[in-house]
Amino acid sequence: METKSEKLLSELKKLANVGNIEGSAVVARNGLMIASDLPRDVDERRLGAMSATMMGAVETAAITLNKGTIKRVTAEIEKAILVAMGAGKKAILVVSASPNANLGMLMVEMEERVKNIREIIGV
Amino acid sequence: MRTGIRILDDKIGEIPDNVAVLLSTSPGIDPASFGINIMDTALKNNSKCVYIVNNKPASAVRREASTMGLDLSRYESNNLLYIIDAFSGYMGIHSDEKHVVENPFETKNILDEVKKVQGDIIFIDSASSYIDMKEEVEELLRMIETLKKKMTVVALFSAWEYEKEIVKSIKNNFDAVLNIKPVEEVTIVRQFLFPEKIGWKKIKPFAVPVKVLKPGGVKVYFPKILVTGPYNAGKSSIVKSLSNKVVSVDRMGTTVALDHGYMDYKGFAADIYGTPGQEDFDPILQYLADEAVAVILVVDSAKPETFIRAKDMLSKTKAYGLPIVVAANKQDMGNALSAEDVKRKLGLPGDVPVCPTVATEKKGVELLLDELTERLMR
Ligand SMILES: Nc1nc2c(ncn2[C@@H]2O[C@H](COP(=O)(O)OP(=O)(O)O)[C@@H](O)[C@H]2O)c(=O)[nH]1
Ligand SMILES: [Mg+2]
Repeated sequence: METKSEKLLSELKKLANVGNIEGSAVVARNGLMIASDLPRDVDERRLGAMSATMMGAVETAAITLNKGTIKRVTAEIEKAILVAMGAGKKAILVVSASPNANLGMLMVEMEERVKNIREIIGV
Repeated sequence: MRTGIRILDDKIGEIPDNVAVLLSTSPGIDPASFGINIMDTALKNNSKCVYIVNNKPASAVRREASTMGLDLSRYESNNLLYIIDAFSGYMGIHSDEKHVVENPFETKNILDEVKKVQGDIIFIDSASSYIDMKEEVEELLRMIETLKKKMTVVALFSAWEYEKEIVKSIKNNFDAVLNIKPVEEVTIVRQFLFPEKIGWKKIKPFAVPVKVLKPGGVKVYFPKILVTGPYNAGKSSIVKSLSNKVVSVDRMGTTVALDHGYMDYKGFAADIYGTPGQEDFDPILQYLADEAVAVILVVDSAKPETFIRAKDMLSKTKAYGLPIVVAANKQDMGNALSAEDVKRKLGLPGDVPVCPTVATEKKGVELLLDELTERLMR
């Protein structure tokens, strides 16, 4: 039987096959790493902690604005695009892509994976 | 010998000579990482080791060791470690190794090769592959009986779905059985080591949280220790003094997101999360604090007026119920209250230790860590 982590990893592996995606991870909203498929030189625990904090801070900003819930956070970095998207109550999906990635395509792919990730995690 | 895994060593004591230890891991957890790490500890303590591998090339063992940051080559070149290749022969492929069992189907050949090198401890990677190859377990048990007369045996075992009877008879033949299993927590999956049987000592059941750090090796590991406390108390400084590798998201001199550090102390490893102190940031406290296993509360000993806020932060981070230690920080300030006075003024439960610290000079931090790890061991 496949464990939860293995199932999540196979979802992330599907993202690895999408052009321009360089790494991805399922991170708990509290910052702990649940599953990751990241380049070896990336400090995954730190990326997890920071992504969750980023998501939490933007979420709080959104509530403060009274403009509804947050769909995703996109950070445009010199040599990457970093996207974090909620995946149920407990987790977020974080993807790092190259700057020339097609954002629309990226979102569609991420939303597909998020559906499955939510199902695997269960909330 | 000792395993090098804190808590486990403290509870099971020295492993006697000429015993057989079974190290069994659930599917998905590689027992080799644990075996190699225990071997590294033994080598550092001047034991001579033999590592016999039958399920992967010998080079894969060296590679695994090196990703854990362990260097086996100097032991090999000093004849303190012999890695015996029993894999190539099984696969029918050529081997460039110095120590090879040409035909591992015959147990005698394995024993002969071991006899040539000798050692204090032998690691068998793995007993499960041996059983799979032989399609029975008796031969393995006889081999271990023979080896045990000369040395301590550590057999690695991947607990695939073997018949209950088989597993029972294997475990009966070992002096000690250590199981490593995944445990699903709120969000993450942690690994715990459960001693199932310790032949030389009566023990109460216990579990040790472990993780294979690459690099770092096997550590008793806590995924989140929270450092919280009022604005300017010295939280970021405490996180820095606890960690070997740290980042702080500080803007204009104060933490606006979190401090994140890695602690590695006397065999314990943990990720440290430091929170902001200002109330404006309270909404993200809940994310940072969630699933923490212990809390370090930092207060400025010269500012007792902030203690109410300190206790408020303990409630907000849901710290009550977790092990808590307090750093009575800034002891170098002329008007600092003593740790005893800080304790009295805070009014926390009597068993919560309050340690005097000067975070910027790393003073008192060891004692703080000892108190913390002592509580994590319970
Ligand atoms: N004198 C003294 N200053 C300290 C000590 N610990 C921290 N500080 C200083 O107090 C200020 C706030 O420290 P920081 O670690 O950023 O506090 P935080 O806001 O709780 O994260 C900085 O200027 C530190 O250098 C200490 O033990 N003694
Ligand atoms: Mg700070």
